[in-house]
Amino acid sequence: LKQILVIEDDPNILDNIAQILELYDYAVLQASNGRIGLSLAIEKCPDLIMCDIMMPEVDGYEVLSELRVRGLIDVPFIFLTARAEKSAQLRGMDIGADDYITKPFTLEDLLSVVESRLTK
Amino acid sequence: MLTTRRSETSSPVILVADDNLYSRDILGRMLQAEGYQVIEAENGYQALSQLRAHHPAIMLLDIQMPGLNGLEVCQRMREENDDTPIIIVTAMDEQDAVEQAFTSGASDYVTKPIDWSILRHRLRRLLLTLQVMDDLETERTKLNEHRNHLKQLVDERTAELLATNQALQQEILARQEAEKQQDRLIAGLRAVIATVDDLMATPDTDTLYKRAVELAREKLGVERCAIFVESSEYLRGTYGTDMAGNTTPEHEATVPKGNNAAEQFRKIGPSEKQWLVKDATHTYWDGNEHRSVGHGWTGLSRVRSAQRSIGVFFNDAAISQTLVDPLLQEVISVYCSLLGAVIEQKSIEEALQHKSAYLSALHEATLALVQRLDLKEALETIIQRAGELVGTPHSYLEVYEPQSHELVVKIGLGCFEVDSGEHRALDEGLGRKVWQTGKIFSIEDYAHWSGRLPNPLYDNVHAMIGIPLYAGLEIVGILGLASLNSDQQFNQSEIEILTRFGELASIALHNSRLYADLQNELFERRRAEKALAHERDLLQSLMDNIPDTIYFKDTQSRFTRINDAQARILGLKEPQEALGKADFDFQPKQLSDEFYAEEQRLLATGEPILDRLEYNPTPDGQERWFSATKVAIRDRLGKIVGLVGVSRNVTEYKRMEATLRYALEKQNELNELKSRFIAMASHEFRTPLAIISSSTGIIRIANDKITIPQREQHFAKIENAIHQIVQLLDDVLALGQAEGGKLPFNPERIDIKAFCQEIVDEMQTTLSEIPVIAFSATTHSAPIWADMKLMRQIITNLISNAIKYSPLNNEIRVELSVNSELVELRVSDHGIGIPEKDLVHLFEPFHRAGNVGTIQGTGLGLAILKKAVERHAGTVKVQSQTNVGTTFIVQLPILQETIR
Repeated sequence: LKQILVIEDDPNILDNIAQILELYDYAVLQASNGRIGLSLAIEKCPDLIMCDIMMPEVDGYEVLSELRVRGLIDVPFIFLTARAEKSAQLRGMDIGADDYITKPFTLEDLLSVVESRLTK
Repeated sequence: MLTTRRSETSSPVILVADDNLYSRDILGRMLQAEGYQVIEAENGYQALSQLRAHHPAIMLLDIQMPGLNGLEVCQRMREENDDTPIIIVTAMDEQDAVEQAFTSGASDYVTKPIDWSILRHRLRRLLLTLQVMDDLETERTKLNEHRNHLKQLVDERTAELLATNQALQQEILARQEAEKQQDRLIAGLRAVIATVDDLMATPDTDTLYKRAVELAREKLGVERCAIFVESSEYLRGTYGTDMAGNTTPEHEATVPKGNNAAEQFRKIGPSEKQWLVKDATHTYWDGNEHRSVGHGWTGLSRVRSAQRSIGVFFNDAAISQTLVDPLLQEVISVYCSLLGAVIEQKSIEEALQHKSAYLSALHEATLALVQRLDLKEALETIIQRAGELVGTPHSYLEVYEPQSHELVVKIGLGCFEVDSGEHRALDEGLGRKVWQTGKIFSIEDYAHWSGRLPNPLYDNVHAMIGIPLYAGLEIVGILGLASLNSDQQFNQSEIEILTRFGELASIALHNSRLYADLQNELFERRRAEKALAHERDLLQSLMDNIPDTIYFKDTQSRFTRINDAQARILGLKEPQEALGKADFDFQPKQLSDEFYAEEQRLLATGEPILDRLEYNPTPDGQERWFSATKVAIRDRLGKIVGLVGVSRNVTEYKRMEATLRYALEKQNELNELKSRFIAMASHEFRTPLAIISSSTGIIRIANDKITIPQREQHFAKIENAIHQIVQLLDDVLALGQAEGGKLPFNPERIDIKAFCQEIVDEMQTTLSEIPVIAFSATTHSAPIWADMKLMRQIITNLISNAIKYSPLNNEIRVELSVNSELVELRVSDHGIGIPEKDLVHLFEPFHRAGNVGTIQGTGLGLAILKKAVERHAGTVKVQSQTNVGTTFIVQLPILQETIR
């Protein structure tokens, strides 16, 4: 059972993502902000991390940087973003994100990205 | 003899002559007792010898004595001229003897026996008499002496007067003679002076000598005279006088060295003026030789100027065979001095005339060169004038032709006129000599010279001279002059003059060669000058008309030229006023320092200053900007000699640029705001859309796997998200309207207190739970002008925010205060507060504080609120502290109805 950490400050979205992933047999770790997400990631060492960018206090970029500093290099990291501009997406890729999912996303979008990252 | 008797140092001596010892003794004793000195004689002989030996004052003589008696003694004494007073001592009976004694010279007598008182008395009387007589004698002697002296004086004076008288007589005669001589001398000198004008009027030196001889005879009374002038070898004749008393030329006459007269002349010392030879041979010149006419006196007078001896004036009286008058010689001496002065004056004048002629000829010839006359004309002028100066019209100028290696006669004057254009080989005639030696060559008698040209034309040529003409080191021609006069030779000073003219001719030839080149060069130069003048005009008109300031400075940063525009900047009326001055003289020190520093750097490195912006406020402090360009000026060698600067007043551009930049900044700001707004808006829309998308996805895929409540939950999520989107759309629209200035504003009269109360009450009822909204107002009723819809939005937004961010449901305060000017609404909560870093961005669209957590919001409410407040010309401020609470303060001015 693959374990996926979802870091998202909007509780509705977090809940929905968790539901979808669980429906498809993934174990989901939920974090409602960046700080919780970081500690869960270090503690549980998930197979994949899905993280929102726009969050108060610790945002998605900081989470990713911190993880890379802490040595979690191999874990696939997927950004969730409401920002459609390419610049925001590229910035994420630049600092080491493996992929990104743009809000709003369909269930299929989410699953295909997760699956493709996990099979790699 | 008398003197002994007058002895004053001792008592009188008395001789007592008595043959009776007893008598003698008594007498002696008596006399001694009376103070007399006594000598004795016992007889007549003894008495005489005692007299002779002792010269007693008185003798007492006894008449009766053996041998020689008293009378005889008296007689003897008479014979011997002894006048010693004698007192006869006699007996009473010897009366006859007494008489005899008196006759014999006795003075007195006493009788024996001697009455002492009588004797004493008689002695005294006799002695007194003797004394008186003695004094008388002395007086008489003195008188005699005086008389003799007077007589002598009278004699001497008389002799003296006689001598003086004689001398005076002689002197008067001498003086009369001298006056006569003097009169003659004066007459002679007057005559000399009278000759001055005559002598001065003579046209030349030769005439002067002739006239001098004539005048000496006519005016001074000289019988015969001649003037010889000195030369190095001999005395040479000028004019003389023949035996008939007429003037004869004696130019051929010479007095060689060693000649008697010459030697005599030479003997005249330099300080002496005159010499009279007493046994000279008188001669006269018959045209061939001096002929002797006898012997006599000859006067030689030196004719001299102040500086030098000129010659000698001979004169004699050979015609009349008389002697020359010495006084006349004096006059002649003066005449000769005068003659010397006149000759000197004449020779100076002649030298001056000659010099002047030379100079004017030189000037004329030079002028001919300067005026760039035709070469032929110039050369003609030169050689013609040269010929005139040395007194010959015969001259020519040959020019060397390099092609044919010949001399060509360019110009021939006088007897050479026919030679013009002739070609001459370099190895013949005078030309050959000059060509070979490269020096001036002079021939005394060309006609008989072995190297002469055979042409019979030259048979009459005597003196001839050839002068080489040089261009640099090469001979380019020959100037030749000739004299047909057998007397004439070219002397040294003439050769010098000709050399000068030769130089001029050389220059003329040289110039003619340069002339063409010069013409070309001149043409080129004129063209260049014209171009330069054109350039200068262009520059001047550029400088005068361009609005930019232009200035030139030297290496000390001093202005050397500026245009009108720069003059105006410096506050000057005329550009010339700036010349030689620097910025320091006109501009503020700080600015001048800057200029000076940058200019000195430029002058040192040569690096230009290009379009440098300079702030240079006007004298009254107005903003003024210049764009300055400064470039170094270099001379032909590349050395920096100054700089040129051009400045443009760019104040207007600068202002426009500032305005533009401001506008651009605003535009950029707005653009950024817009793109940020769009990005934010997109983000805010995407979040609820993501919920809708994911929830519908779950319902669609896993409808059978989820529970009904779960499904209901998803629908609720979807509805909420849609509501959120709608809210967002409303806010965006409202904000869009506000940003675009299109916020509807319809103020109406509202009672703000009642209005607030109504909204508070409304919101209170919608809240299911506490908090409690506490409303307080400072006034009972406060009607103001405001837009009701916007006012509602403002109050609702503030209260709902307060509620939203107060999770502990603490009380919320709404306070209203109204005064005559302001409406102030304060809404305070005890909620989570706003972090300090978010306060500044609080009213920006989509900005939400970091501590809002999951509390929903679009981040547009306060932005809209701010616009609504501003629409009322009011302000909104916020005071907040995290976890303590927040107070929003809205202040609105009381609007008047008219504002609408």
